[in-house]
Amino acid sequence: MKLLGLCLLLLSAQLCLAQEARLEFNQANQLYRDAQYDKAARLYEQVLKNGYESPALYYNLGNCYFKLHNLPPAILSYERARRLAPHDDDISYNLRLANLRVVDKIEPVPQLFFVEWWIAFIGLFSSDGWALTVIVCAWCAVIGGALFFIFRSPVAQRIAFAWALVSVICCAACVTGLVQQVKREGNDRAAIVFAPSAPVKSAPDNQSTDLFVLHEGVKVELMDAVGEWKKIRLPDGKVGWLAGEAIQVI
Amino acid sequence: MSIAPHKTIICLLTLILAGAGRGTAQEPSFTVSVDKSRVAVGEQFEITFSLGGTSAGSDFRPPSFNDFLILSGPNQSTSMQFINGSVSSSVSYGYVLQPKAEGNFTIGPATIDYGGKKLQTQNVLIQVSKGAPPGNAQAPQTGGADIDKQIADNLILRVKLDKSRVYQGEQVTATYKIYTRVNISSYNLTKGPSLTGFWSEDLEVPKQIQLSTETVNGKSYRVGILRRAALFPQRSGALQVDPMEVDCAVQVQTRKRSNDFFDQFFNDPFFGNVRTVNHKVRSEPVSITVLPLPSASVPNGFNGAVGKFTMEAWLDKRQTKTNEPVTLKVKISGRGNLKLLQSPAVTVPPDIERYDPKISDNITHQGDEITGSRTFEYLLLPRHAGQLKIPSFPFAYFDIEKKNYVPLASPEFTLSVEKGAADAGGPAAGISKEDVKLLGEDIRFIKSEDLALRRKGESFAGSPLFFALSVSPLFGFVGFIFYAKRRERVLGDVVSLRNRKARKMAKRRLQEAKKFLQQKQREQFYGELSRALWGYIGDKLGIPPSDLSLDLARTALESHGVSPEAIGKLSAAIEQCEFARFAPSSNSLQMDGLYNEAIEIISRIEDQLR
Repeated sequence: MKLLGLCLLLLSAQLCLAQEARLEFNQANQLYRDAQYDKAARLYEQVLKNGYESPALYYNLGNCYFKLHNLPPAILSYERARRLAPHDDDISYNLRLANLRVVDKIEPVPQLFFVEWWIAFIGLFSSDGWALTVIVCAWCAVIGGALFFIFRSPVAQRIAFAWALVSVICCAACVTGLVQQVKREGNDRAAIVFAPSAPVKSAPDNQSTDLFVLHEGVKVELMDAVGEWKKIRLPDGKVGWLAGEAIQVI
Repeated sequence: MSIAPHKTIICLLTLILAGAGRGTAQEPSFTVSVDKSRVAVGEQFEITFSLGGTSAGSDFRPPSFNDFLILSGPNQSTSMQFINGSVSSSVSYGYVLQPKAEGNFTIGPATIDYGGKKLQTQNVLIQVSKGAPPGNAQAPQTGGADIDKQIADNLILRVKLDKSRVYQGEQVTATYKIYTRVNISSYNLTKGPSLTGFWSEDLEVPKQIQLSTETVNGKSYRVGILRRAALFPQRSGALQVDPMEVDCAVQVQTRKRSNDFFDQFFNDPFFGNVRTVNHKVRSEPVSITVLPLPSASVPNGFNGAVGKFTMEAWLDKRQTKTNEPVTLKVKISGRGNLKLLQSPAVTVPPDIERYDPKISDNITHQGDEITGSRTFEYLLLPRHAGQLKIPSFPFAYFDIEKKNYVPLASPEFTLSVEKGAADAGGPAAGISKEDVKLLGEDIRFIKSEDLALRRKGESFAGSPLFFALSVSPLFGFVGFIFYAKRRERVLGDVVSLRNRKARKMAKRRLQEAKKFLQQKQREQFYGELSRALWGYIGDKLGIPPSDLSLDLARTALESHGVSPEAIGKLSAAIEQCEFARFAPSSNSLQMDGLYNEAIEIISRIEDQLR
């Protein structure tokens, strides 16, 4: 009971702080409606700087930058929003629209079908979503188990047992999804090119040969880092080294 | 080809001596003269009708020149002189003619009215020979071949090279000199040397040929420089400077056979009746050895430049906007084969479009040397914004004096390109139709309801709450099991426990009975079997063993809905057990049947009790 009380206290304190951020967020929304995109963007950034985030916040910020014709931060914001809310239709739509304005068109290498399915499965929920499913499944399994012992009738017992078994399997799948998604999110595996044009080198030093050039807004996968240099991979399989200042991690 | 000086009518016969003038003042003369009486077909000659007297004549009628083409004429010239109070005048009519065919032709007399008198000239005979070379078909007196040979002896054309062994691309100066002991009135370079394998650049020579004197083979010649050229061999090996031909108009002195006193008088060597003869001189071909450039350690950027050069490179501006052109100029100046310089390999980042260079030359001759500069103008069009680096590019030349390659390098340029106005959000190439349609659309509006604002980096997935919530079911489950067990024990719910265990117990006893059956221990078998049956019923119905009797069991089973048939069978089996236990007559076959029946009864009651 004491613990619960402490939790409630902390929660209320957080809610109080969040209230301020919410106020700023609404203010920024008003600025956006008045087409003062740069001011709105600054305010959204302020909320982010204060340590808050949410899909809507990133999404709105992305919209501001898009309206300001500032493509890389727009795409970065949309990507961050999508990371938090993978199935938000608005975020996906605007991100697609922004990506259309990127100069480099990169054709992704087709993946094997089961790899695609696997990625799609992991992308089904954000890490928080997975966490929720894990909890729900676990409780389902426990309830099923308890019912098994409570029921006297063999038929009811069988149903309860089957229910518990399915819940346990689901729970295991969700834990897998959660672990993978947390890994993906935690590793900062992608970045957006911010430099108007950035040469991709064959090795992490300035003297090495230019392999190709990327332009602002391109999303790259991060693979490795040596000093200020980042090893990147494109969806079409090309690999090279980019100067760290040319990109921003999502 | 023909350079025969096309002179207009020259009035020579106006020169009248005082005495002669006086003597002929009253006697007018009307004469005809030709500059040559032997001509070849196609060769032109001149015919002049001259009237000498005190006044001009009238009504000049020329003969018909049917067999000739009139190239020009009549060209009339008049001269008047006052000597000792008396006037003498001279009028001449000249024609330039060209014979149409070979043969001997007579040009008839021309007539003129002079003071009421009609004067007439004599006939002139013209011998036309078949198309002999113009240069040889003259000089009836001395003979054409003679003159030609004579001229050839005294006229030499020579090509002089300042070096005979050069490197490929090194400059050689060729001087075309004419050595002459005759008078040349004019010359014409008919055939310039075909300089295959060379790039040549004419050097300046004075317009007025300056003659000097040189002695060749013991003969003293006047020497003039016709032409000078800087030659740059373009390939190695033995190259030849091909001969040059020059048509010279050589002035030779001739005599004319004529009975006319005047003609004789004027043909006097003292007066120098000069004729122009065309003569063609050729130079001898000169060969030159061209050494290839050393192939070892050829530096990067060498493209055949030989001489001594410097390179400058600059951008017209360092800052620009996208799609606004910048000019990169590369100026290579010095001396050497400037015209053969190739554009240096300028590499630009892929974000810059580079066009082919515009080449402009500024070549001057300083003495014998070709100096100047060649400028390459590259138009660069940056397509994307950023700090674009144009790397240093090499240029190398072969230094003739040091006999080695000299590498040069341009500086590195950084071009800072800002985003131009036209570049804002321009769509890229290669997008699908659907995408094109999408491009026209606006982004979706912002979300005004923020439902999930939270601390950054704080995620539910890793939070203690999550772990608590996900692990708690496990503890909950274990707790529940313990709780259930404890409750069962505390409440002494033996009935339900026994019920659950009834079948298990019966099974165990039946197995025990089977063991005895196999060992043929009759008594133990029947005892175990009856215990199994009694035990099962007691457990199932929740009747303690002490209270259990057949009647009680029967009524209890009936109330639980077990069929009377099964009950009958059960009681029969129990009775048989009790009976057989003490009857020695039963055999093993009977025991087997009873065992199977007991199993059947238990399973039937189990089904019906459900």
